[in-house]
Amino acid sequence: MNDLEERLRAALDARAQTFETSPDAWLRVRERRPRRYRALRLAAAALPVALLAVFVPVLLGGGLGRNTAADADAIYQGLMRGRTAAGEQVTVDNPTEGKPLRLWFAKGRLGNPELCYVVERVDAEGYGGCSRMPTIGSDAWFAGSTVRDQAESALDWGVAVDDIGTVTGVAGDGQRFPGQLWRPAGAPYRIWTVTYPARQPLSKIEISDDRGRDLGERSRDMFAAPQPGQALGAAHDLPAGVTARPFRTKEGTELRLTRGGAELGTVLLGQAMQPVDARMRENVITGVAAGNVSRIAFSFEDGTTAQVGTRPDPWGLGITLFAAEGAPDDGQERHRLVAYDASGAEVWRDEAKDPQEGMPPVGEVMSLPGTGAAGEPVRVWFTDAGPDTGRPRVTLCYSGGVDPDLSCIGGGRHPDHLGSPLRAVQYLPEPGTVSYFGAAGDDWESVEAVLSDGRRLPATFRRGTGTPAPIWYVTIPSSDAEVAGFTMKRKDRPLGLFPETRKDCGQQAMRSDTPRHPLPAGVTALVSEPNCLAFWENDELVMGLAGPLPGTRLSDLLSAEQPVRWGRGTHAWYGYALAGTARIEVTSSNGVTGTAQAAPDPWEQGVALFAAPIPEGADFSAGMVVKGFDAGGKQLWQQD
Amino acid sequence: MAQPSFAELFAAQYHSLVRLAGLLGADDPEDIVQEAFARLHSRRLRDDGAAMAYLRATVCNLTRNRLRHLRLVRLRRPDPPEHVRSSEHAVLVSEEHRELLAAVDRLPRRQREALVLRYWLELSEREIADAMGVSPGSVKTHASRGLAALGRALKEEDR
Repeated sequence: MNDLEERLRAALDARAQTFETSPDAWLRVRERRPRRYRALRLAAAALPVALLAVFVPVLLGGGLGRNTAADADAIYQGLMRGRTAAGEQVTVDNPTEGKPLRLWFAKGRLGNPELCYVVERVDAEGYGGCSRMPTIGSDAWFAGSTVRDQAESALDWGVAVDDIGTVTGVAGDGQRFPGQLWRPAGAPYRIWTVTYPARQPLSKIEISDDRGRDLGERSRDMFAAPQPGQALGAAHDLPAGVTARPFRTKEGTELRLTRGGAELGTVLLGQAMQPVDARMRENVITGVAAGNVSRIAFSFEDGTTAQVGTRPDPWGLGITLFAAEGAPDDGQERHRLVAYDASGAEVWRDEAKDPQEGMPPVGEVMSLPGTGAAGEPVRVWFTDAGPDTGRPRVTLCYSGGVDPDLSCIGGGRHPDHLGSPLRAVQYLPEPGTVSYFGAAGDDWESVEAVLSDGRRLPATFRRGTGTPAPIWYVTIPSSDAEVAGFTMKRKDRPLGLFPETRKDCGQQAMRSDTPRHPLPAGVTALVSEPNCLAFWENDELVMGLAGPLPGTRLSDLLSAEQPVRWGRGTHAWYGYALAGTARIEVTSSNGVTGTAQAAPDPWEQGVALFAAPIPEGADFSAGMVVKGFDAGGKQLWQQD
Repeated sequence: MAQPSFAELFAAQYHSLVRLAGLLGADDPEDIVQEAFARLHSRRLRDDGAAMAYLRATVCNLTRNRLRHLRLVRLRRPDPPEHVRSSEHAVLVSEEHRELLAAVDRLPRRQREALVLRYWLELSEREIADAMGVSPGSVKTHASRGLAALGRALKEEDR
């Protein structure tokens, strides 16, 4: 390897270290996955054994059946076992089927809010499900669709928070379709619906608030991925509302399984395929099996069992397909299956392992205090699993609570800064709690949660037996104010302030009646409570910056080590710097210099605000030097 | 062999893939990687290696598409930025790497991908080809042209 290659490797490694990850990454991935709900794990647990025995033959049938209001009632009742309704039910005209679509909010057994639906079909059995609500950072999102192959019209539905007043659907070709907002009495959210021609599928919605203020757009991408390639045949309806369709992609022949437009799974067909490829999504068991498989028996960790019959594919691919309702919500990680041929002989057996087996604990597994009043407590443990990087690792994992899936964060060095806390929501007993926690360093003296009303709640430290680091945790009632950020004190170090990272900083700021402060280069700025500073460039939102925690000022986020916080938009760079700064000079990595005039902020935050056009030819991508000068031209600080 | 669990793969690879997306120039690396994992979740691949290959290819694809979109946006708005990454991130990179990284940022997209995948992820030519969706021969070409361009750029900076 020559010198240039060595330098390149070192430079890439140095830059790679600058990319941080957020603590809610796992949750955000989950929100993007096909909508899910707990459904029959709870329902099945509540069913007496005799009823379960009756349930099995229904799954084995797997074919077309009657489609009456009584069926829809039965689906509704099945979904509501283990749930309680939260508000009135809305009945919407479904243009795809010409039959009613029922939508309502419910609370799961652990109090978690969900949006439930029952779709009645014109020529097939109806189906239903319940999708979870994101716990952070969303004000309107897609939750379901009636779209199916060869339908002329379709309807998408979703959820909006209380201040959303208008929803407009926007098709991929730009055509706009007015939406309808429903406000079911007693419901925690609003429901929106948009009807559109099926040949013009929606790509996003535009939303505005009750007062007509534009709040931007929300993409449909997170709900349904685009078609993977060229269709190899017509879509084929399976039971439980599942549709299968083969596609040719650059990877080969893939079979995509969808339900109401949302992807349940995609299977790459061919020699590498296992004899049974089963997916558990929502309450549905679906998948693909070898041509000789006629029946599959599933057993789940909670004792639920299901037997599912297969049917030959209609495209001559030599496979069989299956779909049935009856999966536990989290069963995809922990189940056993046995496949049989038509003679009853076993042809395949598989077991999906517990994901926690891959993250063995180092030291004590701790139950997080304040959790477990309903359902499993949140369990927290350290692990040293993962790729060997040659560096010491501190990875913190947790599972349990409302969300049974495993989640881990870390893998880095011993904690020397607060980073981004983990978060676990509990809904019962009402009003519920939110717990924040994370790995701590041995020299940490205190961590406090700073609430949006200014109160500070101290975190508790605990070191489990044999664990590589202590943990800190703090639990806040959901009825209390929102957590705006944290303070952390290390021995012999000044108190550090850590505003919670908010990707919805600008969205919240757009709801404010306070006029934005104008800056040069078409930039405007506004403090967005409780913890960020929003910026616009020519009226378009650009990256926000950390804002003042309640009871503190922007100046508290600056220091000699960090004299300036700044970002860049499309044409301008902007930010805030230590008070007394009158001029800021940036030298870009390619040697181009830009200057911004700074002036005291108008909000008595004790900082100097600035904005300026990005100098022509400047490369702001790496390695800049930023200097601050006072009004007399004396250099006050430098950041590089 | 037991199927690697999705959660396990996420815990082990998420941060590394965020860094890959960042090095490829993604304006929101986490967004890209979360989408890649969401897409992986709807598939079931035969083994860990297949899942990682799928994730890397998806991150490359999504980043490429996103940058193409940003370029189109910039065509409608004059004086475009080369990157929309957090400026505070950028200043964290030390002076010694500044020139070289600036030159990397100016490389054509395929050349940059080939170099990042080879010199940061240390993938084989076959793996790089899979991630980029090109032939192994093309990988050689992109990588050698990229290195040559970096060499030229550094000489120009030295003048």
